[in-house]
Amino acid sequence: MLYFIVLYFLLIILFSLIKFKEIKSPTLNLFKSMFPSWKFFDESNDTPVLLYREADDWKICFSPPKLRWWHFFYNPAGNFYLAYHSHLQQVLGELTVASVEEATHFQDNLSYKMLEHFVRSKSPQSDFQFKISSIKKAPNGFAIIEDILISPKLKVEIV
Amino acid sequence: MTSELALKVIEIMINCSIIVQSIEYLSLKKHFSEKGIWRWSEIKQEHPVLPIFSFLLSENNFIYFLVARIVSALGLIFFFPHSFILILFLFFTSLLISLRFRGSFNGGSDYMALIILSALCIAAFFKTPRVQMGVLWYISLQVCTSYFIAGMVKIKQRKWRSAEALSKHMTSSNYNPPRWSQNIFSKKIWAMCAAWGVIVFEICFPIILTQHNPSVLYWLLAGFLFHLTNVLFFGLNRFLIVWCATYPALYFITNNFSYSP
Repeated sequence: MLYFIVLYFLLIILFSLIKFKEIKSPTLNLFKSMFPSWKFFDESNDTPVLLYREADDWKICFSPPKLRWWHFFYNPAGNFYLAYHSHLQQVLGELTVASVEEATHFQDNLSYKMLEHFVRSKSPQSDFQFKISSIKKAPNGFAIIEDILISPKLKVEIV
Repeated sequence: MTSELALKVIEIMINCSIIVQSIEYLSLKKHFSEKGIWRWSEIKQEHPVLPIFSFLLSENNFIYFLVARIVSALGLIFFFPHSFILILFLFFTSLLISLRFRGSFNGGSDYMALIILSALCIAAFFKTPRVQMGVLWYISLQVCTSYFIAGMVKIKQRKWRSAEALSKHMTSSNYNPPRWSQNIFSKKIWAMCAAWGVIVFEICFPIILTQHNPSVLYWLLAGFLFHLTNVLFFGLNRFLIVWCATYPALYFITNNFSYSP
């Protein structure tokens, strides 16, 4: 039995050394929870953030919530924030593999529309614009390193 | 500990996790409404299979769906332990929640919850000691694999080996770790110790399968503290309870299995 377990983990090492071609399938992506990857914190580069502006100044759309003791058990805001992050990763992944044609019409993509919904959930009071950028901390808040995607100016929803 | 008891503890823990997660979703209901972020009318167009589930996943029905999950989880804890039908229901509804959020809402914890629920389904259907043993082995191997792969991915990256990646995660604006931890990990020596501590812990975790009490308890305690720090630094609370729900399987397997012939 011990040999089987050792063999199992040796096979994992072997497979982790092989670079497999990424399978692009909407069905597989939808059922990805059935195929766990376990690659936690594998991205060591700057993770971009969603910024938006109504006037001149860009603001960070979502900041990580301050941790309270009960968040160890119950943390809806924290999990919403993590889901927002996963969404940004998904958008960036889709942008990376998009063909020229797909990139040109990226605003029709659901992930892009959801970015807009994320910004609208902040209830902007006037016309607004959003972008995904890499940022770094700066004494007066943050400094933009690189813009990755910028939206056109969008109309505020009249309720 | 008997296999029956190990499965019972796992079942209670995963049901507690399901109850908390469902309440968390309910408190985020404005975000999955038709004026929110995850609008079912848009999401269901992504794949031809999705509209089939509209009667469960559309705005208002999804709220009843979450309430049904809470009731089922409570039922499993208090009235109908090991009920195959209820566990199967929780498995399928967990899968449907993943579909509702375009693959997953919380990544790893969603994956592990599905693994545990699928294993519990099999144990509840067959109810023989041999199957129970198999199910506990399956959960144990999955949790060891999760740590091992996470460690492998990190050790392959130069930025993780030099602790640059950990420092970046700790000081980035994406997370909100306590100020004291940011100060500690801004010092190279501490960041290096922590980064290699994480890598070694994750890669060596499968060694637990060759251990017995009391060292198994130390491994599990280390795992618990590891997830506790992940909540503290990165807010990953769902991982804490879901991963700890697998520990009774490890405890049972390591103390009831001998490799000697």
